[in-house]
Amino acid sequence: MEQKRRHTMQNSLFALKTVFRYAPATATVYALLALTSSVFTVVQILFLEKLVNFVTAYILQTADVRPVLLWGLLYVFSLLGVQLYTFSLGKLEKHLNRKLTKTLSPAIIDKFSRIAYQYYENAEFKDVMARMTANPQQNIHKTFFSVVNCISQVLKLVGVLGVFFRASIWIGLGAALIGIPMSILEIRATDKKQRLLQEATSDQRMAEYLQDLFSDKHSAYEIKVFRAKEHILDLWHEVTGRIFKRYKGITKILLRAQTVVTLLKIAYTTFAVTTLSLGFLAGRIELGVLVSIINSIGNMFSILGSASYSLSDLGARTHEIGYYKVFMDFEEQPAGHDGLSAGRDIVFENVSFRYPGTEREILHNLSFTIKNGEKVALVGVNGAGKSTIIKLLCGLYTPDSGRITIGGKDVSALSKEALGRTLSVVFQDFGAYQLTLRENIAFGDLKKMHSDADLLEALHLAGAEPIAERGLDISLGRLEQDGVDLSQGQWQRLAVARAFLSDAAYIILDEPTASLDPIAESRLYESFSSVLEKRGCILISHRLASAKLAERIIVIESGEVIETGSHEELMQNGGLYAVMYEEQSGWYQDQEVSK
Amino acid sequence: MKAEKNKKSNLRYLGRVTKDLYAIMPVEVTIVLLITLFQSVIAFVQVYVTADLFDAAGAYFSGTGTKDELLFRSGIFVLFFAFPLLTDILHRWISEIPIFTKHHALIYKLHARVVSMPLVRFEDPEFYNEIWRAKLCVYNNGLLNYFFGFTGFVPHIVRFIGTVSVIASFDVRFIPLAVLSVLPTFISKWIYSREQYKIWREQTPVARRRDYLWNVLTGKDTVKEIRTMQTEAYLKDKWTQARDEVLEQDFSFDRKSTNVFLFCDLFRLLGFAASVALSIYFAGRGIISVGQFAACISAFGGLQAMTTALFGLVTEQNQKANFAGDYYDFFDHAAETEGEKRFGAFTKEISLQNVSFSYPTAEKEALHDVSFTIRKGERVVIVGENGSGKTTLSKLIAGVYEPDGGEVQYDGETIKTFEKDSFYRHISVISQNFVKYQLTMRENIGMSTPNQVHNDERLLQSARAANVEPIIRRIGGLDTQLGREFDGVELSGGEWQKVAIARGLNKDADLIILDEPTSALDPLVEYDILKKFIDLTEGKTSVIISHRVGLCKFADRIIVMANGCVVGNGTHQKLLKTNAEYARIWNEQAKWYAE
Repeated sequence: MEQKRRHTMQNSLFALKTVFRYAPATATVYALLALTSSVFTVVQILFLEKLVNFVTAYILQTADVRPVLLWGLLYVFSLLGVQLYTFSLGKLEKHLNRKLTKTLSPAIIDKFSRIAYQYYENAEFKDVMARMTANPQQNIHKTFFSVVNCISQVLKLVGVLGVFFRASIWIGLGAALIGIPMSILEIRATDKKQRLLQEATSDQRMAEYLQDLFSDKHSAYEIKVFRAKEHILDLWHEVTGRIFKRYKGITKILLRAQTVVTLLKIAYTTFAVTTLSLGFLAGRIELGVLVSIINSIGNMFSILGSASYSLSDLGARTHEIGYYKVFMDFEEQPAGHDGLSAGRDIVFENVSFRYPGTEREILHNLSFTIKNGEKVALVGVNGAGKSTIIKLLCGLYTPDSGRITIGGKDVSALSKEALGRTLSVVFQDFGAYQLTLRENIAFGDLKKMHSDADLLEALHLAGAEPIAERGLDISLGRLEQDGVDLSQGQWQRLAVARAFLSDAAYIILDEPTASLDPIAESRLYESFSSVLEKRGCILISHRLASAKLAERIIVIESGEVIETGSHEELMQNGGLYAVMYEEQSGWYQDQEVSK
Repeated sequence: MKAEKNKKSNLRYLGRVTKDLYAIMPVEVTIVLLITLFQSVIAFVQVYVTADLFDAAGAYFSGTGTKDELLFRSGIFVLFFAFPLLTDILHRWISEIPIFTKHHALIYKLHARVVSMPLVRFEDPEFYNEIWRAKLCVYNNGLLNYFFGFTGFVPHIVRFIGTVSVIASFDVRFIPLAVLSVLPTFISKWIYSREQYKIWREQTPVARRRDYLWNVLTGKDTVKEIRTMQTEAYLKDKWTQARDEVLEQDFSFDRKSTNVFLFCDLFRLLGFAASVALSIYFAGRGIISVGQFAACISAFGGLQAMTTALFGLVTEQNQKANFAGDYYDFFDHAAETEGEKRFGAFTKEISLQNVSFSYPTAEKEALHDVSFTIRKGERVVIVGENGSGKTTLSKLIAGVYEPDGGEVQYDGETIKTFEKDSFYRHISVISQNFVKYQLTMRENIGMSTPNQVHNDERLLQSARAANVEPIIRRIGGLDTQLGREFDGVELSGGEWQKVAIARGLNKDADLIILDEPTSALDPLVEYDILKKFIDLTEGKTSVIISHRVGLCKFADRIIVMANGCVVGNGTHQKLLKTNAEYARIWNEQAKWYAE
């Protein structure tokens, strides 16, 4: 509890500091206005009291009309003041929100682009990252507002209590006595609610995942044919059932607290009205006081409610800020600064690797060299570690032991630009961007965004020029109303075109033909010779015909190199490669295959 | 149509919402209505009670009333202060938890509906916008809010009428002042709430693009690519643009509307000041008593607060109606048509007769006048270039797409006439875009036959057929979670594909459709699985789409597709000799394996 409070304090200060750093002027004006606004609440009650008293005197003809007009005007002015303050505060709040959204969320996105890639594949961190998606800067600015609002409500409350004490010690004392347990109850209930809500996050992600299965066209297809709708809904029910049980508990806690608060409110009002009426009857209390206090009891309750809401909101917000801080502390991908000179040899030296948090060693003491400009095929059975080699080469992961170097320099020491000039990659799960065709190709080399000739040339080499039939500026995918959705094979050709556009020293293709038809596959192989004329290539493919195109084939099994050589050499060796090749080419021998 | 919708009253969904809510929670709805009625009565009386209290105090003060009268009035006042608070908390105890739990049924209904929509709707971008809005409605308790908006509205209106009638009972001349001063507020809030919804609706595509780009920037698969391609900065700019577009639109709307609201508030305040002045004047002239004066001030104050609250509710209600509208818009689209005839496995043949089909937003026909027959027990392979219509054709055979022209018949009867559950009992698919269920291995294999998901024997048998058994042994059993999303074991692309094949085989179907079943498999596994598949489907009907034309030798018959039309139909030997398109495809691939 103690620690939690310290946490709240620390994170509130953090939020205040952040807000004042990003928007000092707006924040200062807002704070000043919010704090001075409390004056009006008190003044209003006093003015009303005076007004009623002078009107009474005026009616009883013990005073003339002038003080009535004076206090009437003042009363109206105080109302006007509140109105203008509310207006200005609302405007400032929006300004501040806009400013913070604009300045803070880029910082968050920047962080996303710098954190080590492994965080993306780790469920534990996903929960933290999931909290960063829905406007995380909201928590910071809301914390600021909560702090300011809290202080201003407390000031108001002190003022109102002062007026109550002035009317009668008992009424003031009663309000003070009742206010404390009421706030504590509400704050505690909300705290509990927050704690219970946090525990539900991974259930919630699962519930969302299951829901998304229904609105994804590919899973909808399977669900329809398999009649799995009820089954998935059952799974979903199970997960949401857990979430709901928690919610029920939370609602009960809140309701219980609110019941007690309501009873306290009723008790206090009864007490205050009785005391005031008796005081009035005994002549101790003026009519003006009676009217103004009864009028402001409701107001006092709402100030109290608002103050405790701000406080408990503060607890929740600062907790979220905790996630923000954890996120901002995520380890970053070390950014290298080295450039590359002439040499571009790729060397794996005794590289071992397992994915963080997993047990299986994917690569085991792996060593090989690819000479600058060499065209190499990586071949092996599923799960041999081929795609992992690419991820390591791109610097997305660092090896547990051993070294990976390009041109003699550690991959991790190379600058992003140097890596970009060296490698151009088509991953197995390549991106299918719901943007324009132009962007989809130009992402291979942004400099060429507007050189149509280069883009069309890359499309041509990848055998995808028909996609550009209606120009380069058509939207692709299902996001825009006029979007053109492509088949898997077309998307794949686009991904290859993207890689071809780049002038990088190596083109890396991970299963580039998996979704291509035979004609397209064949065309792609044919264009290799021209595309790869001046550069190296690393090709991963189960289509071994493509391995034949390579100068050298490296066969990987269980994370180790088991053979290497040209197609002819490996065929003579009669190892794994030869077996695989025979298996595949057997399909195309013109004799009946035995069933 | 959309503009027209905005002109209709916010009452338009009241009947439908009440009916839908009553269907899932009859008791709660009745209680809420009863309590609303009770609260309305109390609200009306409460206004009079407050006025009476001040009146009695004033009367006592000027010597015309008695002490007992005043004390009695105070007692009644406290009672009527307590009543609504108590009923309110009672209301919440009775209804909140059950309502919360039962509201769940609406979310359930929505998801069940999404997956019941015709699969072809999933190709339309507008469909996703509709789902997005309908989801937003249910997740924010849209229908409940709309309903409670109305029930909460009633006591407010009654209180408003009560207050006006109290004021009128003092002097009728107060009425025009009271009503006129709040009129601008009412009108402007009304107009702006509609405007706001319109803006929000127009923003949907931009907001979706913004969210999509955020996902690209923070998603596991995309981050890998955009980091190596260095397109992060570009995508970040695009995201910032989309975000700012939404932000600025909101901001300028807010600026415009808050200015207008300030003007209205000031006008309202002026009316209040005039009312106070008028009551002072009346009090001075002896038209109303001192007590009535105090009651007037309190009533005018109440009226000001009430109009703000009331019009807040009215305008909110407009928005709530719009959200409810989004929900019903989605439900008003026709779901899949359900036939009546039970389907008991076909015995002779599947025939396509002059089938044509085009995607909703496409200009070109995807299939044109396609006719052929598949006899029971035949193994048919469909070949053709990317985009020639193979996958579309398979979806028509599976009955998830309905032809625009012509018919797909099973034993002479069109698919439409069959009851879906019985029809799909006999069909299984292994889709090109198979789903990687982020669930357990058990679910991943068993999903295709949900009622046998706990039959380990059966699951293991299917696993064996697709070579998944070693994976199961490695990961530690059927109940191991798969995929990184929820901290499970991640499989390689080829392994996922094997799991998808095991799933397809797990369903004991007469017809099995394989769309690119082995694209990511290594040659050894590919051969092995296809061999097993062929053994397992002996005597069953199968339709195989593949770019590995080597597979065609195993086929009883080959259908050659080009540009949405069937251009060849026959055996491998026959087509190789007589069909130019088939020969072209075959040779194109085979030549790479020629020594």
